[in-house]
Amino acid sequence: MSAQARKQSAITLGVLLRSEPMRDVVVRPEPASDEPVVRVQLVDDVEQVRRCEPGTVVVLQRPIAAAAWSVSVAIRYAWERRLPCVVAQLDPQAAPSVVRLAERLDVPLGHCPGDLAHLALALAPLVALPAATRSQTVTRCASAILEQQDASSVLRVIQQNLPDVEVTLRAAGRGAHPVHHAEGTDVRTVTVPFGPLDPWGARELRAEVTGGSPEWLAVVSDVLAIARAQILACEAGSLVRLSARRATEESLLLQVTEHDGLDRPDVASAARELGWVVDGGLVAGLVSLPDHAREEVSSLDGVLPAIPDATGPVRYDAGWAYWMLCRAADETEGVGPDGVPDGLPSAVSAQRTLAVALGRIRDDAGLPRNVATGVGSIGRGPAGLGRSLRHAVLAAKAARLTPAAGPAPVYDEVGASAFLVGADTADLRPIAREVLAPLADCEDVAALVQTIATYLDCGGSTARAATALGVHRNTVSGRMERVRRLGVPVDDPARRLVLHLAAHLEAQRLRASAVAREERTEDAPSC
Amino acid sequence: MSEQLGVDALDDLLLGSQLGVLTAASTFTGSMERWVSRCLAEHGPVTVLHPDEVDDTFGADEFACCVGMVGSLAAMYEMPPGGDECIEAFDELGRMIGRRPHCVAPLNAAGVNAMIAVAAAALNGVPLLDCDGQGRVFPLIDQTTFALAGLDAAPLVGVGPWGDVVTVRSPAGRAERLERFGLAGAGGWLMTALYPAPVRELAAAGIPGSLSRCRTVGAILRSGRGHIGALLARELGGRLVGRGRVAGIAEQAEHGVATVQPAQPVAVVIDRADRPGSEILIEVRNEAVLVLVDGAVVATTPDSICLVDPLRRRAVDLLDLNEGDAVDVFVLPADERWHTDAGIRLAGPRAFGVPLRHHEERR
Repeated sequence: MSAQARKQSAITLGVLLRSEPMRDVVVRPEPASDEPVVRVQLVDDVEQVRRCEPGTVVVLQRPIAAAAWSVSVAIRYAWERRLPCVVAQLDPQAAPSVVRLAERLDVPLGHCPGDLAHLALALAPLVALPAATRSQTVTRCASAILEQQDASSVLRVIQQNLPDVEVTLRAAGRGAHPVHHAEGTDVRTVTVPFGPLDPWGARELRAEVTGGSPEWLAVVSDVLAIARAQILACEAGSLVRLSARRATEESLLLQVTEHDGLDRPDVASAARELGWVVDGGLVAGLVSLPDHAREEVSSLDGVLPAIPDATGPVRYDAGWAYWMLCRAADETEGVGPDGVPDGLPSAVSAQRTLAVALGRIRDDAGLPRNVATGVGSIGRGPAGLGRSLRHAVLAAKAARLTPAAGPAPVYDEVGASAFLVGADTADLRPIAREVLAPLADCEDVAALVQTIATYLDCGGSTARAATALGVHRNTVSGRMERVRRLGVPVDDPARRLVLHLAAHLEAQRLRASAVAREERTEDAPSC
Repeated sequence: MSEQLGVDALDDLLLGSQLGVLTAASTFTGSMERWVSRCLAEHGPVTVLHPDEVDDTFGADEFACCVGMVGSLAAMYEMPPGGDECIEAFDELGRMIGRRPHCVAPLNAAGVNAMIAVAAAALNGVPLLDCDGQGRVFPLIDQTTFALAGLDAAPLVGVGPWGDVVTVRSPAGRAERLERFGLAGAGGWLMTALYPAPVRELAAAGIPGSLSRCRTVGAILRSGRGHIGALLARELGGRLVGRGRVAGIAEQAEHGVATVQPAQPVAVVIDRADRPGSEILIEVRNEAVLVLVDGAVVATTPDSICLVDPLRRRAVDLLDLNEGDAVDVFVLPADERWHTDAGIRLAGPRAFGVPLRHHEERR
């Protein structure tokens, strides 16, 4: 092999410095990592350094390894001979002038606290068999990578073990990496795509390698491939663990709230482990998706933040539940069993706090627009929590259909809307449509239905209905006249309750249809 | 041409004798110069003979010897000599060799021994040869050009601070080791008469003009003019290494290679003022043996590595040296006999535990 070819295939100083034998060797100044190393020489006569061929790492033997004069002379010779590194046993603190000399001449000086002959002996085969050393580097990286639990630590391991390599995890096909390199620096890129197994889309590992030989680029590529597998495995493991935890929590919440689960030791123990407190007064809230989007509820996993002083989020129904402790209605303010103030808020205060926090999550956490939030009534104990959660579901549904209800309405304040949302069942829905069938062909059916519901809410008062609807009273009179003409029994006392309920249910349905239409329009790609 | 050395020449001699002496130099208390001065006052000026005059002055069978203090200068200041040690050692050596020496020569005309040689000549009433065996200070008594010429330090006589008389009669090359043992028991120093030899042989083996050079150096130092380091280097045929301030003085744990040198290695680091960022490192093994500039070897023993204080215009003693002191570093070439193979073996860097090829070789 020619000297040139030998130099090209040689391992670099950076690889050598990161090898196992050099683990305890401290090197200053920071070496140029891409310097090829063709030989390691143990030297017991400093004059031998003058005869070393370029590319030789010099390991000084004691006693000259520990004397300031001899290390200084070795550094000087190394500078004259363009040797990549000198390893000695001179405490940098005790010989600052030698360190200064090494820095001034830019000759990396290593301090090895151990046996220098053993070090040279261990380094020699690494330099003599560069292919084996590269394989060893890949193996060492693989071992270290396989111990990591997340992508960032995997990347850190790569940075630590592969000199002169800048590695990033990024979406495939993005523009140039923003790292700036000195002018004239030979930088090459190695890319390993994640492929179809990537749960987050098409990502890739990209390494920018400064001054690497083809053999070194192959090492980088191998390491990135191993890193890719570990990152995918870590992420899959995280997803599985998260999913299992969510499912466990969801199941546990149902057990606790619906089936007196706390009477069972296993359920009680699991609830304790999760830190759940379901004694005393409780108020629940919900971040909810519409029923038709129930399958997408897991998309909010990991997105929803915690709320101070509240438990959650825990998957519940078509959304995620939170609850917080408060004083029950029959409890006096804030004194615990040991006489110390318990610091619990009142029920109303807890409801407000939860409503504000949920409203902030809905608006600020980057959630889909079809997410709604609601707060339940106050409950007591596990059963009370279950009831509060059910009320929160209704309040959230009411909020979705009644924008005027606010971002996170409280069940107790929503009134009939929440009840009607609950009454919107498959049995009643066809009946409501049949009662209002005469209006089905009208273009303004939604306005007419809403007018009927409001008119009846106001006890047949045209003036109050007009105020509630925000229209002129003649408009209300006109609409009601048309309704009567079309055969809707507005004035029949025996059928008025049915008509009143049917009008509210149909109004809800029509609003829900309108909201869904709006959402579809917003989600459609624009040209 | 012989000359008389009297009291008036002592100041130059004293100051000049310190040059190139790092660990046995200028910590004078004043007692030494007063004693030598009194000797000259009582016994008259000493006749100083240049080696060229020896053949005309002495017969082939007339003997000379060297005189000098061997051991620790600090110990000598703690227990100063009584004054007659030079006479006793001189007389006892005469008895050992069966004849009284006709003149004396300094073991080394540097440091305290330059002054002691003058006192010895005055006290014993014999002429003083203007030559010495080292041309500087080496720590061992067999690191001399006398030894290079085949002369042996033994028989020798040393007189210690407690009046102990140590005599050594030994096979060639053993005197240094034996006297070193005697030193430890005698109290740290021995006023020693050694190298008994025919005057002509001793003069031929010595480095000529050593005493005269001391006086020349002293005169330059006392003149108060010019860049002292550069001036001395030029006048004495040497070269200036640089000027700077002491950045550190550190004792080293490692010798380099095994050596018989008695002192612990010391490294002196000097920040160069004439080339900012550059550093001079001086390795001291009893005396300065190596100078590096930024790791490059610029001088080694046996050349004489000299430090002078340009502000106080005097040679630097390691005991007086502190971080921040200004110093000039220059190198004086050793006598050509030191640059022979035998000379390098005896007094080159390797002899001091610094296994570097001698600087002359690399040039």
